Amino acid sequence: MTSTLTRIVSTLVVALFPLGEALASGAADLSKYKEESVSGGSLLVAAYLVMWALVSVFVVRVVLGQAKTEARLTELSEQIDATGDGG
Amino acid sequence: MTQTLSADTRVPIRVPKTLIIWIIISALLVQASLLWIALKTPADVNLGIVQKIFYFHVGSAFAMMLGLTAASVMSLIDLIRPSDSADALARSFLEVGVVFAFCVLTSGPLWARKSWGMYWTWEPRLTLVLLVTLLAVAVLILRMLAKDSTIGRRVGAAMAVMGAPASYLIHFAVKWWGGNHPQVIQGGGIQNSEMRVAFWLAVVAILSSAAVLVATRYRAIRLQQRTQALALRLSARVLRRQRAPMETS
Amino acid sequence: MNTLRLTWLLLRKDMQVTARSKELVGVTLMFAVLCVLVFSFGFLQSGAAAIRYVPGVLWVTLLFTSSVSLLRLFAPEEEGGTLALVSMTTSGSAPLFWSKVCLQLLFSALVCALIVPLVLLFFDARLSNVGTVVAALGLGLIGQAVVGTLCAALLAQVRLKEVMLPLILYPMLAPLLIAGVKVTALSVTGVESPALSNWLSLMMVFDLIFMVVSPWLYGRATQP
Repeated sequence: MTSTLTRIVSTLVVALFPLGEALASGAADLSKYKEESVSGGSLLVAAYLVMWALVSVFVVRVVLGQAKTEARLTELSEQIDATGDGG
Repeated sequence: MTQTLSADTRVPIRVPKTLIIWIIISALLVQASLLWIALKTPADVNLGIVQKIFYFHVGSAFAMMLGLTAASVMSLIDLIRPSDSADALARSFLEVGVVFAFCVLTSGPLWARKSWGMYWTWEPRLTLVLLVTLLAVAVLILRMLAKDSTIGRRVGAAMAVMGAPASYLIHFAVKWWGGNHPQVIQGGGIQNSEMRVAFWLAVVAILSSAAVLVATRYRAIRLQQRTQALALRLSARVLRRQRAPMETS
Repeated sequence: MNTLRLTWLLLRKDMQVTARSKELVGVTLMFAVLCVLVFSFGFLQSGAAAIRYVPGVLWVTLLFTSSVSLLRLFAPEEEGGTLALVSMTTSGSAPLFWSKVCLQLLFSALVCALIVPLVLLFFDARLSNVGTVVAALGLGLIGQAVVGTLCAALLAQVRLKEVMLPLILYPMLAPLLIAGVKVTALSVTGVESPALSNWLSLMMVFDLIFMVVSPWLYGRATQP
């Protein structure tokens, strides 16, 4: 009698073990998911800020390049004045 | 000729009215689309608020594709029939394309973090964008290294032309490469008419801003090219002057 | 003299020059062997999984080694300053371009002949489908040589060309690398797959496109 009971219990334990394992791993997965979830709002703000920053950097670079060219132009026009008649 | 040039340089550089109007319109469009996305569009049913990255993300991707394609086409034109304006256009398209490529590459992972649970996955489109961006940046560096030399300009143009078929083949390669990966969940579709309006508003706003950026950069490069030519002519004249007395004596 | 004959003459000249200074071949081969060794140190943890690294190690070694020899491909002309002269005397740039492609192809075939047996030996792998792998290697090396020669030729006069060459070349060759690794992997693991012909045709299309585009671009970009 006891031996049959032991056998049933042990069979159940062995049979349920994968299930328990699966449950445990599922629970672990869920907790991992919760732990990893980040605020969507901050991601959104970050994305738009980064895009703004990138475009701004480009605009600043264009402006700086333009300033350099204009400085060079002024220099050249002074040079033209210095050489005299302009033709 | 030199008379007009020397007169030209004293006139302050004027920005044409159409460009100013265009800049204002683009700025208004961007504001409008941002407001619309913030106030009118509902949060996505599955993804929540982060889905709002989608609008500008896809818009940037459009700007990137158009910009880089146009850069290749203008480089091809510059190779077949060299002209300063084709070169300037190719360079401006390339630069603006790269700027928006970086926009895509930074906003994409932030969105993916929420919707796919990780910043990066080797999904074909991501891989394609990354490779094409790397290639475009390499060509850009090449053009910057080459400065204003004719050789450098031709080399840069040739590489930009090469990039087009290469990108096309990369597209197939990464598609088949990623083929046996599990299909990623396609989050962030357009679910209602507010979203559709937001999407197209964002696309139009970004493309318009990208065009303004290209036009501005183009003007800057053209001015740079003219200044360079002027400097060359001026130094040639100085040289001629110096040599003239020797030749007459 | 037709283009074919001119190409052959130029190639023979280059082969003689290379044969006379034996260092280049030896150094390149040694670099390839070292590459394989370094990858083995980097990836190998247990013998059982080793076979999975064979395709990657093989193709990345070929890619890295090709950029080493590509950097020296135009060195004789550069050092002698004869690039423009050769183009002028051969009435166009096609013979020069194709002779350099053939030279690079010979180089990489030599590297290949050394590296493939070596990798198979080191990793104890066996190819189930030798013909397919040879076809993939052939197509891959041709594509590498054509695109690589164009990049090497154009970058010859650019600053920092040693860095710029890989920067441009590797993204462009990505399709060949992916396809080559896939085909080799299928052959090493012995899996019959319909994808095989897809990958081979992708490589073929790559080669065909760049065999047309590259000489044209070379002529356009270098014409005075």
